[in-house]
Amino acid sequence: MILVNIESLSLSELRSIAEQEGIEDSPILDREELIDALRERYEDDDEADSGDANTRYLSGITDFRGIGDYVGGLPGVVDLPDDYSETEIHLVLRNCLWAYCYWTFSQQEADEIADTGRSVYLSVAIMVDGRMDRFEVPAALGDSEWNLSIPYGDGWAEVSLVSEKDGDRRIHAVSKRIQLIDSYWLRHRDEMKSSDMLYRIYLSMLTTKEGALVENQVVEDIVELFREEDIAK
Amino acid sequence: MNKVNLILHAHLPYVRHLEYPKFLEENWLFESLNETYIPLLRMFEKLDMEGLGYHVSICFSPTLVTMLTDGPLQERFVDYMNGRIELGEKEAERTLHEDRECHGMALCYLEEARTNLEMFERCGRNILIGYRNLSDRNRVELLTTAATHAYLPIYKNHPTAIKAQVVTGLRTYERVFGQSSKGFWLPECGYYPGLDKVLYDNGVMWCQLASHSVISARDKSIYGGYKPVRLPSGLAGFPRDWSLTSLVWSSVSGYPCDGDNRDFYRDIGYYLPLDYVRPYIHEPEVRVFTGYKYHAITGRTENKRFYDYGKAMEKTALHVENYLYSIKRKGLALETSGIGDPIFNLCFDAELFGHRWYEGIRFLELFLRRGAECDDIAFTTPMLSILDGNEYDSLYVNESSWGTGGYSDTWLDASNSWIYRHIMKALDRMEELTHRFPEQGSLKGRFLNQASREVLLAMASDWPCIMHDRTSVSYAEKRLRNHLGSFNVVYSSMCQNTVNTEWLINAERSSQIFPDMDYTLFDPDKL
Repeated sequence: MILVNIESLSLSELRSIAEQEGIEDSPILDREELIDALRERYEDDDEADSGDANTRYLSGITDFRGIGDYVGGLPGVVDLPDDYSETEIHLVLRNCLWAYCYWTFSQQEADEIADTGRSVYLSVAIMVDGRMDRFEVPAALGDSEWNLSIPYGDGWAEVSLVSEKDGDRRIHAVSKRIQLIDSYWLRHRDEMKSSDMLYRIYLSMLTTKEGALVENQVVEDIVELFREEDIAK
Repeated sequence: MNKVNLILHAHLPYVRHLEYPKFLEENWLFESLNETYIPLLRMFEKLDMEGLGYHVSICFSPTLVTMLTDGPLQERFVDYMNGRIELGEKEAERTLHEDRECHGMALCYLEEARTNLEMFERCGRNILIGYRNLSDRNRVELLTTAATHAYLPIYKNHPTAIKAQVVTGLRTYERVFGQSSKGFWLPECGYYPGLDKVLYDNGVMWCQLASHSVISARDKSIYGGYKPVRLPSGLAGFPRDWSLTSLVWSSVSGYPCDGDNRDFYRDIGYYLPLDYVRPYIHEPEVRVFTGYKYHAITGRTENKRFYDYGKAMEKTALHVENYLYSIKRKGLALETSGIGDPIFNLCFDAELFGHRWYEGIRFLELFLRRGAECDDIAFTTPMLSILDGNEYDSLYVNESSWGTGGYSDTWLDASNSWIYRHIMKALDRMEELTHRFPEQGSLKGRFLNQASREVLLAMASDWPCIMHDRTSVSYAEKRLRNHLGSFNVVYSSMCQNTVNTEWLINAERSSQIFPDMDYTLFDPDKL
């Protein structure tokens, strides 16, 4: 998508968009006021201006109008439910250090938990490099999603939806496992001192002409380790 | 020898709203056709006729090829082009008397529009035939991608959905191009361990990979991404060269950002009197791009200077020389590091060239021409690289993508995470339907096939991406809700062992995609 660079728009373009957005007094606002008003409307931020190098290129300032109002549904289509009233929990890898977890309780189980005053929590199991770690994340009955911190390493993570009262622990659902991110170079720091040339080859693919590194946490950590080893040498 | 794999990815989400006389999001297709797909084809054909020995790879997504071969959309494109030509004729006249600095570009746009429409008609309105001819002449390697361009890593716990995306993508390619695709563009460069096997088992030989996937792999790479990667299944992976692609792609310092280039945003649709542009904008009075743009990027200023075509073309030639120099210099540095004959994989969205970056087509043309004159540069394709019998890095690559941060954050953040509980539920239910209703023919089979289309369309990476980027959010959300809501029509009807024929007829008419859809692809027992 092409993100609109509001600052590059002319005064007439800004007025046109502001009018479409129903911003009051748009004909008499000056350029800066229009930009501020539109930014506020779209909760714009610096990210849009800096531009994501991977942004895809479609067309249009299409969200400066209410197109959603006139995309009609087909006969018989009803709104999506808020949830599906089944007890389940899912875990999805979001990045190398975070996983996204979402869950629902069936109405029956939710009522029972509420009626009996059971506490709800997520039980996270992480098997990394042959060692099992477990931790618990308290949740409210009305919660339905959470982001969980995960480590690097050879292993997996899974999360269980648990309720408890007076030592009576009940597992309601268990997610499928997700594989953790593991990297050769995060494990072989000892080889870094003798891998100068390889390091330069790696970096030659991952840096811009300004010297900026591709945005990736594992790469940043590997580069940091190489630098530390270089300093140590 | 520096080997260059130029890989272009042409994709648009499936947008077809014949229920409206005009639908603005269909302009995504029309603008891309006029400004990218047809000019690219013209350029490639011209080079081929001149006997230039170039090679490029182009992925046409299944949703895009469906739209490009859709009769009503082709008809609408002709209408769109006639409007564009009519406006061009008015502009040619207007700029004789006012804004005279724009007259040359008005004529240029008008001529381009006429030539493109003529070519479109000459191809029988199906430009893919032209690309297929170039493929037959071994100039272009064509490839496909996932059926609706789903970001696959998020769905890895639904192997039937992965299979349906992959197989339907491959089948669509075979149906349209009459051959099998040996390459598979991973949507958003999204890879996860195991995806390679799904692709390989379905006859795919290669895919592209995110640039950081090599250094961060579980195995030690010795070629740093400058040779293909052998993934565990045997599939070849071609890592995208971030360093070289960013010279073009960077929205801050890439060649397209040069101040002498044409500005994308400053369009007469936004600043000429409403009465003048009204027939060419969106009804009732929504100002939109018309394609007539006369200003140079200039800088971050409101006061943009008029575009100077000649000056921009001179700059483009300089950019090409700089690009070739960067490749050669990098090749030399790699050679001194012990890596001979490196392969540089330059992966771009096709719509960047011509549509977003007006000078981009000329850039590619000069790049191929000047590159062909260089003894130390050879344009190739991934498939040719494989047939050449290259050395490989055997790597276990982690989950990765080309999105922000290199993983799934673009398609899974606070703005769009809500969609997955609905999509995943639909996928679960789709599997359930295949079990409860195996081998259905006739009406129920059509009903279930339409449910498969709806769930595939809901999986498109475009919707969460739009939500993340906050561009056409309301449209994306509406589309997603419609597809999932439509799926739920089938599910609830089939649970009562009935078929909602009114909905089915309308749905089939509205989504004329994947005519060979097979709902049993979602059957977990057939994995």
